[in-house]
Amino acid sequence: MRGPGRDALGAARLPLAARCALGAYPLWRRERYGKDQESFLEELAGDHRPLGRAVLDLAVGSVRVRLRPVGMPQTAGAWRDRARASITWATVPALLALLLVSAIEQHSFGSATDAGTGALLSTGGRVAADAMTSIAWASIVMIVLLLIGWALVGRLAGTVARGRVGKRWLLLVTAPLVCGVVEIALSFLQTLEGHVVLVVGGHSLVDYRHPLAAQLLSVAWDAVAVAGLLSVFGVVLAARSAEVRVGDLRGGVWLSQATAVVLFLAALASIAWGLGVTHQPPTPRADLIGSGSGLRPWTGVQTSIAAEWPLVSAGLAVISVVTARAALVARRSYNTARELLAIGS
Amino acid sequence: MSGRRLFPKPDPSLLVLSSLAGGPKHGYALMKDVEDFARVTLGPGTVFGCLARLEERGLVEALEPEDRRHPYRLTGAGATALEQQLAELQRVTSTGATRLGATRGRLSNGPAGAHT
Repeated sequence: MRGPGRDALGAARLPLAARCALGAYPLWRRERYGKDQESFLEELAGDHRPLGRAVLDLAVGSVRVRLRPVGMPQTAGAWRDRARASITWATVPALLALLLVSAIEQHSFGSATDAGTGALLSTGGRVAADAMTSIAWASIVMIVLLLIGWALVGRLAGTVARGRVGKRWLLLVTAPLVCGVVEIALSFLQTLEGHVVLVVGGHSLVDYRHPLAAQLLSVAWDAVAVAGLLSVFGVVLAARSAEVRVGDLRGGVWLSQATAVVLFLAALASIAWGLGVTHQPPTPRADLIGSGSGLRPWTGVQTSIAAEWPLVSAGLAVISVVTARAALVARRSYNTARELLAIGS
Repeated sequence: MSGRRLFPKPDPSLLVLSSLAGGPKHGYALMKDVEDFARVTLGPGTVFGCLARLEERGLVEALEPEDRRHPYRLTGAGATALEQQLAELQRVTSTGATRLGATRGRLSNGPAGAHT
């Protein structure tokens, strides 16, 4: 039964993609088939056969196992791990949803419907304006939920820090929270730096006193946002390494369900916004621009058509489905783990 | 003509069971054997996914690991399941072959024969 490529094993070091695909399987599955799968890949490499398809097949297999855990041992620990992984799947994609939602909010139509434009809006435009308000609220709720989630993971950090991985994890898991606070501070500085120039017609633009400082603040905001998103992976890794009890996951299950509901509403609002904004006829953006004695004519026209809305809405819908399913699995797994714990399995 | 296969690939579980019918094998040896007799390349995700399903149903079992790898072998239940599945396939293939022979006979009699 000795494979032909076995002799070349010493030289065969698996590439990162292969190791990632192997690591994507749940713990119980890695314990059962991990070494077999690793050995399979090593023999494949030893035979000088391309690993690409095998790695892809492994990655697809890991998704299948996570969706349908065939052969999972009926122990509280295995179901607890499944609940924990599902909580991750239900909450981390919300970060991507936040990016999509902020893309909608950055759209000119989004910032132009705050006040005074009612007379210019058709029914579609009013629907879009209401949807925009809902999306803005959804994004605030999502940020609050994620901060609560991070705080919960922060509790896990204590467990992790006591373990073998040391205190560097504590820095890693609190990084998203720190980034959030820095973002708020930078936004505040931006507000101080800029002053709003009212535009006749209810539209608003921001003028900056020191353009260079404003630009630096903007770059810093983007950099901290990226750092915050990246540090979430640290949170995920920390949560994965932490030894948690079943009871510790109750808050995470609640968080998953709340995130799923908010994301579903955000996806619906995004569709409503897109449909509404498409049916809003082009409107004159403003008659005059400037403030006080600096008023001057401005003849720009707001097209009000957001060509990207189907893509954004589809993205939100996909994330919403993933989150909803993961939240359901998290709840079921949590309940099963508790039942198994109660009967002493 | 589209490049898509008219008939889907054989079920991986059937291929795995058929391979193990020849004796215990570990994952890679099993994949190579399937490649030899069925000309189908199974990836590691598919192979171990099948083995997990079959093991859960008691159709295959793992032996003691050799050099990090578990060899797998067919159980009695697995042999019975494979036998039943092959008998069903045999019925289909023999019926198809018999009817195909008759059709070829009619076709060789000319185009008019094909419409009778």
